[in-house]
Amino acid sequence: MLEESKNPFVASSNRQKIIDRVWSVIFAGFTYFVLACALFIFGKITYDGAPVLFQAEAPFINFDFLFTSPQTLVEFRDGAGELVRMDASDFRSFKEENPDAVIRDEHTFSYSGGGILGPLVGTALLVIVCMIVSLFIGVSAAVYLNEYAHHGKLVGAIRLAIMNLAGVPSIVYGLFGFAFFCLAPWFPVLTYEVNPETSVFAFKVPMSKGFLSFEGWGNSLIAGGLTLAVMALPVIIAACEESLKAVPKGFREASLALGATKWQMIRTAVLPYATPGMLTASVLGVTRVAGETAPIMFTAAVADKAKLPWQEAEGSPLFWFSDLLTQSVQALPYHIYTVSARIPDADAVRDMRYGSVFVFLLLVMGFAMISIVMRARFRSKLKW
Amino acid sequence: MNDDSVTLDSADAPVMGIDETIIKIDDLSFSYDLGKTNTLRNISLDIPAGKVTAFIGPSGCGKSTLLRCLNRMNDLVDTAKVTTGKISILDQDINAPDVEAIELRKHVGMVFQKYNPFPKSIYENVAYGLRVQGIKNKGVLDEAVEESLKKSALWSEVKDRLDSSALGLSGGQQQRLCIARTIAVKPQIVLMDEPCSALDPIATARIEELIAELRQEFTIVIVTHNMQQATRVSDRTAFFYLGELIEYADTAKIFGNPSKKQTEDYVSGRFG
Amino acid sequence: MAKHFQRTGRKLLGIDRQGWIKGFFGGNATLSIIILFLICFFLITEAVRFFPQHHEKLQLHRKSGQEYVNHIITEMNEYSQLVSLTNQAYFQELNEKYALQRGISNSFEAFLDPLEDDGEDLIEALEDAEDDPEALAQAQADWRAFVSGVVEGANRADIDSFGRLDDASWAALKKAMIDYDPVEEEPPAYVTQAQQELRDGMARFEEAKNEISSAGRELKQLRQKLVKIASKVKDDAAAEESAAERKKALLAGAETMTNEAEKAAQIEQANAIVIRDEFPFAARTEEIAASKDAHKAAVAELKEKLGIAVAKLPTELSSEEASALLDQVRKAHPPFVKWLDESVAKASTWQWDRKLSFFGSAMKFFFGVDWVTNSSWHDFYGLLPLFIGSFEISLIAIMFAVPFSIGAAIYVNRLAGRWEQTLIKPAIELIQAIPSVVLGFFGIVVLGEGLRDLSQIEALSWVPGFPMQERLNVLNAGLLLALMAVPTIFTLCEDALNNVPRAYSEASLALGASKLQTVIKVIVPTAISGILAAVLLGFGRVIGETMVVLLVAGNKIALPDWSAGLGVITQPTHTMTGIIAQEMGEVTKGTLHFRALFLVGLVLFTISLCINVAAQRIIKRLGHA
Repeated sequence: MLEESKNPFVASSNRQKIIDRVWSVIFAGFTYFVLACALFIFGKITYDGAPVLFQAEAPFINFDFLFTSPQTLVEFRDGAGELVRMDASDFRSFKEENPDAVIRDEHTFSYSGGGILGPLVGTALLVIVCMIVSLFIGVSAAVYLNEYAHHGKLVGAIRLAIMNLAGVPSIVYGLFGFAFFCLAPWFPVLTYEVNPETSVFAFKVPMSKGFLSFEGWGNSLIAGGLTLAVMALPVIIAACEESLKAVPKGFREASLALGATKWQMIRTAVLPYATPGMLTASVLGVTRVAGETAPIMFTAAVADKAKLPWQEAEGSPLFWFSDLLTQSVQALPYHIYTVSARIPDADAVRDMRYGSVFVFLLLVMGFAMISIVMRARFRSKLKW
Repeated sequence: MNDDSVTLDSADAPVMGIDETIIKIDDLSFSYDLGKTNTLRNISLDIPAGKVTAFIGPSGCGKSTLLRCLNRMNDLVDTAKVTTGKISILDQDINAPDVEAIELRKHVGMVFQKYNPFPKSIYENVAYGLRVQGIKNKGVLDEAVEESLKKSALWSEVKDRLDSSALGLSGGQQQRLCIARTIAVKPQIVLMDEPCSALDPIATARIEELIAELRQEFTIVIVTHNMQQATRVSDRTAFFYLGELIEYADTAKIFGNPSKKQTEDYVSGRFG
Repeated sequence: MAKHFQRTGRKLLGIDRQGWIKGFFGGNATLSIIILFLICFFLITEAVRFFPQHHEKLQLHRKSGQEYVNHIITEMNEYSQLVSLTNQAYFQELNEKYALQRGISNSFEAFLDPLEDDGEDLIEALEDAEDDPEALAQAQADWRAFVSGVVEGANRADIDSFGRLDDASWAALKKAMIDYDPVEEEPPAYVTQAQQELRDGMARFEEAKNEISSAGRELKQLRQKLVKIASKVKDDAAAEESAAERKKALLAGAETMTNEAEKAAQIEQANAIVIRDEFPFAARTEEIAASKDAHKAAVAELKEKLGIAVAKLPTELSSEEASALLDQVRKAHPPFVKWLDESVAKASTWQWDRKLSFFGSAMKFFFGVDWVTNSSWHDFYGLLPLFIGSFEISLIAIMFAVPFSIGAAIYVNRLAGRWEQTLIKPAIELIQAIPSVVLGFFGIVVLGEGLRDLSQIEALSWVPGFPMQERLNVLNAGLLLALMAVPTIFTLCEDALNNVPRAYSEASLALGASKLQTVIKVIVPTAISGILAAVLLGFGRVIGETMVVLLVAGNKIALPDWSAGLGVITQPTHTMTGIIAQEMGEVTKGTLHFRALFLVGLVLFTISLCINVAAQRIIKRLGHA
């Protein structure tokens, strides 16, 4: 009794304490299990993919993989029974040079030879188009919502639309892009040869040999880029609004009190402080969208393309640009889909699979990580 | 404690006679930033059992901080630290390693500045503290809820709607509900952190009546910056200024014949 | 006086500069509404045109008699499943019980290749020397030497490629090969004996098996005959439908021709096209209608013969798998017979001119169980298997994701230390950036294999669906999608927990509750609307995910086989998103198939909108309780 009365605040039973601990550990276990899963995926792909991109001797990076485009891989057994793999172009010249060479068990694997230059370039172009368009619209929309809009019906409708757009499945964006940008004939192209099947209206451009033809964009860079841009819009608007909200009210009031117009106030007292935050946060949104395959599957991407888009485009500068934008492109995510699902599994395609997945993951995660770190820095700085 | 047969009287705690010291604060210094600057400095203070003690002083003088030290609510701040001195409640150093903050808070209840009932029914609010102690017996709970609500003078107003949301009550009722919730666990000490600051005068008067009732059963420590309130409800008053205890005496003395100049200035309204 | 404070500056169309700037920003913001509207518009315009086109297709399906014949096709399909099960059981038993005998027989045949190829000259010598004893002896000796050379030099793994032979029988076979007579092509006694043993042992089973396979002969012949007729009717009817158009086109073409002879020929060709008001379906499908009795008879025969044959199936088998398969056959037999009667009854109600309601044909889309495209027979567009596939996968994903994400949110928000918080939150956000195609790839090459290996562990055989047949299945896709859903649910949950007022947790702690009690009893109940909305939105994200399911779900369009119980989770399936991704690239604009895919897209879009709206409602309604 005496012992007890000495310290009344000792836990009379350890049970609750133990329950607390156990659940704490369980919740922590859940958290770290999820992280471990992600880490395992990352590790596995790095383990198998890094050897494709990196090599032991200088220059340590396998530039061939990055700077050639995909082509067919040929696998055969030579006279000594050794297994030989070479790209189709090398194989042709090999056969020309050695007409007598013994070639047995010849197999070909589409898209599994060469490197990933075409898909890399295509993805980069898609992202550039997407970024330009979605940033332009996204920033303006965010400025309107945060600076101009009052709580009205229109703003309510805009916010509702943005919220719902964010939930639309990516494949539905793909369908929309396909119908709106690719098939519908209201988008004009500059071309030397009008496509009689799809063109609804065409006229000759003065002072040139070409036509302005309303025939839809077809499977093209611009259609894919715009589809991605539409998809990125909700994320970017949200990101930009966050940055705009972080600019203190005092800046705006001070600016207005000094006689600035609304636009001057936005230009001088809001945008300069919000821009870095808007950019970094938007990169995250664009990165997420750039990783998508479904929206570009039938709006922009092709599995096979002989030359890079700008090599294939032709004509005078204006026509060249139009031609460039209406080229179909290879894209890294689509390339990965092709090599991992549409060609049969074999040892010969392993390198291409893991190599392209590794490069893609590295790029996407790299950009995501940079933007997350930068965003964190801006957030901590933004405490004015 | 997980046994339903547990009696609700805090039989395991020593019984204190009136005027015996229940809380003993000895040379306490406290910091919110791991000791870089002290929010409270060298405070020594004995609080008697069965009385109402008021802490007064201008904003930022540390009276609320001291109150939160008494049931270790400051533990929630990672960088909070007692730099020197100790607090003993019921002769036990409450910052000793073997003291369980959860157990301490069952003995030292707290009512907050802004009434904060849970978004649950009135009944569940009052029963909450008992439920977390593992009491499931409906009879015990019913009885305790009724008793607490009666003691906090709320019973007649809410007895027909115990199952409706607590957030539907008026502000003063919500605060009395919070008091009921606190006394339902039968603490020996009830800390009140400016319990009336968010209430209108009528509701304030009712809370003050309630405090006068409750003093018969609980030791009450109340923080207030309404000096009239301190004179109305408290037996002893401590005046703090800039983290230091300036003067501590019977309420009548503090307000009638303070021994320090600062105290006199404050109670007569010359600053603060 | 007030003039000083008036706006100055030029106006354009009555709007000043500030107004234009505001209009510019507002216009861009309004784009989001326009885009949402356009998405709706394009999906709907393509999708609604599916219904009349589909209705017409189905009408033709009925009028041409295909509908009737389809019953027979389905009956045959169901029946061939029984046949295939029996065959599987047969070979399973054969391989297990008579592995040695099969090994001997197969290895013997494997030996024949090198013997006959490389020993061609020797065999000829043997044949030539038939009448000459001396030469014969010489030739035989040469042959024997050659045979023993080949036999000794043979690689055992090449000959006995399944490793069925033990050492003793391998040696015996090698020895016996010397006795092989290449002229008569008479196998050595050792081999014939083994073959005989095998034949005797399996005789009863084989007989039953053959009887099962032949039970449906009548029905099969009937099917072949009627399929031909119905296809022809359908093609002709379709051709006649476009006859008027073709005629017009030919005539129009003729107008532009300059060569008189060609022009005349084309006009003649055009005039040869007869345009009838109505295609004579009744006459053309007479034979099909008349086959109803033959159909009944064929089914009756099938039922009778099948009953006898199934009763003959052996019950005592040495292979466990074979007996399991046969049990399946016996179990499936009575319901199959019952179903046959129903099917025949249903088929007999067919009449070419019975009216088909528009609503009925629309329901054929939503509740149809087949999705068959590019078929020469008839294309079916039934959403149900795809819908169920999508739903199954999403449900599994959510079941796995919810405990993990809510647990993690509680941990990070309430229990974790500060540095843990600052690290874990962005780390989980990074998971969200993993491209779905990469996850799908991972599912194919790593998770699929891993799960299959795991499922073959004896100790885990109690898990429903284990051991799994297919690497790519619902579970695999569900697990990957769970990982994709975690960041969404986690982030929203964490926000919801964060929004719980501090006063609640303080009050709870001051009453002596522990941290965990505070979380469970106060914080989670307060945040429950946010948590529910998070789960819903996670579900929305998962059901709309494309690449992972396209790569990993197995892409088999079929209703789940519920007989496996919970084991359906290891069956392959197909999804709504997957089907669009897989088939959209290969369809022509405006075809029925094209519109069907847009309709699937519209269904997906509607689901995601509903989920979004529901989530917003929940937050609004419960949020201020």
